[in-house]
Formats: sequence, C-alpha cells, structure tokens
Amino acid sequence: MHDEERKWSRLPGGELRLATPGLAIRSIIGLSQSMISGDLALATMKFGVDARGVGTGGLAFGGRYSVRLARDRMLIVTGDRVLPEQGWRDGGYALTEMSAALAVFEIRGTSANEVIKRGTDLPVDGGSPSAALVFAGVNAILYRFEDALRLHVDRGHAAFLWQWLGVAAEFDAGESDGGKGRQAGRNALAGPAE
Amino acid sequence: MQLFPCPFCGPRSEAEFHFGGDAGNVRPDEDEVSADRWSSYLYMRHNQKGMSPSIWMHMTCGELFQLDRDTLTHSVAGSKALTEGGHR
Ligand SMILES: [Zn+2]
Repeated sequence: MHDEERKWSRLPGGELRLATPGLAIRSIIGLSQSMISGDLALATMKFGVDARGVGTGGLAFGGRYSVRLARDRMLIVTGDRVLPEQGWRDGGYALTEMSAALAVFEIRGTSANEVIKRGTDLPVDGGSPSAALVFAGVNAILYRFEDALRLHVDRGHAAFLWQWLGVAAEFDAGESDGGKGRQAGRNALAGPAE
Repeated sequence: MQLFPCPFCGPRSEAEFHFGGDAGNVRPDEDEVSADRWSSYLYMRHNQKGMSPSIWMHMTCGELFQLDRDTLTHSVAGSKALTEGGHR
C-alpha cells in the first residue's frame, strides 16, 4: 500500500541533549488539547477553567487549565482525558479536539528566558492577554507553566522547532563550556534524543 | 522593527500583522455600481500623506482592526477593534 508516513519527521520525544548550564528542554507527549471558539464565558464555566485563560506572561498550573488564543478563542489543556462533547454546542461555542494538531515542548531552568528571547521580541513576562504569537518564525503558543515555560506549535513544525531549540540553546558556547553547547546544537540537528 | 498595538493582544511585532488596505474603502452595491466607482473600489488608493487610517489583521489571534498611522513618520496614533462597539 502507498505509504506517506516516511515523508513526515517523527514527533520529537524525550529530552534535548544540551550542554548549556541551567537549561532543560523536553517534549511532552500525551496532553489533551481542546480548542474552544465562541462564547468563552459559558464554555469555561462548564469545564471549570479560568474564564480569561493565560496569556504570554500568564502562569498556568495543575492538570487542567485554559490558554487564551484570541478574543473568542481558547485552548483547554488537560492532563489525560479528552473533553467530551466535541463539535458545535448549544449556547454558542464549539469544541475542537487539537491534541494531535499541536506538539508541546517544555523549557526549564535559569537560562530558559534566554532561549525565548531568541524566538520572539515579546517580553517573556510581557503580559499580553493572548498566548498566541510568532515564535522562531512560526505560529506558536507560549506561556509559563509552574516553574517552566510551555511552547505549543503546529505538529508539522515540531521537528523544525525541536532543531531550532537545540541550536538556540547554544548560547555562550566556547566561552563558558569549551564549545560543548555547539556540539549540543549539532546533536539536535542530527535528531531527537531517544 | 516596529510594534503595532493589537486591540486585543496589545503591542506586538509588526511581522505578526497583515495589511488589509485603506479604512473606509467600502464595497459598493454590485447591482447599482458604475464602472468608475467599481474600478475605484478595486484599484484606486488614497495614498495619503500623514495620518492615515488602515485595516490590519493580527494573524496570530485573527483580530481585524483599524490602525491610525502616519505614512510620513510611521508613528502609530492608535488602533481600534472592528468588533461591535470596538471594545475589548
Ligand atoms: Zn491580537
């Protein structure tokens, strides 16, 4: 049978191999993501999440939270199970399952903000009401999650952004670590850590 | 690089925005429009010098809004949402 699967890069898994001190980047598999469009007040009340949703400077935590994407659009992230009742709902909102559409990366450590600065000119703690932005040239969603930063990106851009993160994490290579950071960048280009 | 104020998201890089033409260039009623009026709607631009209202979309959130910008200095005077009432 004709198989197009080999044309797609595998979803990056595990942790990026980095030599940069104070930095850890990993791929998060298994989160459920549902997009809500329309009447956010009604939908967030129904699903028990914050009605505003976190923006770029916002802080999310726990196993179920909301991320603001636009005036009338929001992403609800849950630890495991998919929200019920996909599709148009009475009362004026739509629920769309997005778990397979967006890859999620987590950036953690004292140098995490340095990586973010390379992808966007938006201040990390800038406090934009929306978490949707252009990051490293592609559409993404960025916010703080507990003591880390979470970055969602279209599945089709996941391999690119994983590579980009490996290279962007090279800062100070040659000065503080004798070039090991540069090697980490090459490792990232060679493929994801298994 | 310049920051544009999205009425919903606040200041964002100009690279996140898409130009939508002169503000106020309203599509004429197709049943009654003259050839001159129609070609003006399609092709003629004001190309104003100084403060000019224009329509933009913030691509990351989909907000459609009016931006008032000086075509000489590029300084931005403000923006307003095109949602009903123009409020947040
Ligand atoms: Zn916006």
